[in-house]
Amino acid sequence: MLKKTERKVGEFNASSMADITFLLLVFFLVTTTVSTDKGIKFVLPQKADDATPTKVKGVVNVFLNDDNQILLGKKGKEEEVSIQQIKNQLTLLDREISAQGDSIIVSIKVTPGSTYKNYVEILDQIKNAKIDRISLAQ
Amino acid sequence: MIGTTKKPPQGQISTASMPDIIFMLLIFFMTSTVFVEFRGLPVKIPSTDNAQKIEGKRNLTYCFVDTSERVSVDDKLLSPKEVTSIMYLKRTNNPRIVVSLKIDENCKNDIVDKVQRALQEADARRIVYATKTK
Repeated sequence: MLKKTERKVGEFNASSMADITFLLLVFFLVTTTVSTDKGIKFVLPQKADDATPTKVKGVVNVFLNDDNQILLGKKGKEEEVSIQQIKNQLTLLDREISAQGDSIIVSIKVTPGSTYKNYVEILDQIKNAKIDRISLAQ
Repeated sequence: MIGTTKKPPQGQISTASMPDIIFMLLIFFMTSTVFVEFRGLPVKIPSTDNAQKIEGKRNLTYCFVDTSERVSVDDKLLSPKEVTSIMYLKRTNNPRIVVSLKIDENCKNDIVDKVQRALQEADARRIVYATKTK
């Protein structure tokens, strides 16, 4: 008589699966570096053709030239300052302009030959002086 | 009885929920991870005191400018005019786009101005000057 041979059903022990997955997860958690983006937020003005000439009070000019010299002050009263002085000068001007009932707007104008680093440092100092109204003169 | 040692109770922690926890963690990281799709240009970005953390990575587009005035977006070297067209496309796809300008600190403001004008043309006016914290 032919005897039916019982097939052995192979079993896979999955109990270590969780350990392996956990190990992989911990490995990726430890080795992954999260890149954080940091920077100075800015909204560019509209195109020059659309931009309307502003006739507002409280404008303070900041000029940066090719030799990276900075001029700061109200229109016609600009004086040369160092980067470190910008914050204090702007705070003083802000108080002066606020006393007259206006709010300060800082207009930055940079020459093509000036360095980007100095431009960003000026922006940084303006932010240090807690001034948010910045205009980019073109 | 005195002298007999008491065996500590042999409690077992059920590990049945372990795969669920792991899957949950895995799904969380899978959905929250945004992969970098470019390599960019080697630039040395300036350091500032007011480097704010930028939220919303999905809306960020990077624009690299190096000292040799090369402009790169999505690993393609472009002229300012091409930047306008690519940014215009990106802005129509996502109106909330923010352009992160990774410009080398030794660059001249001439090229910065050209890139900014290109972005203005494309009406992608929300930008971030990428900086490091001092």
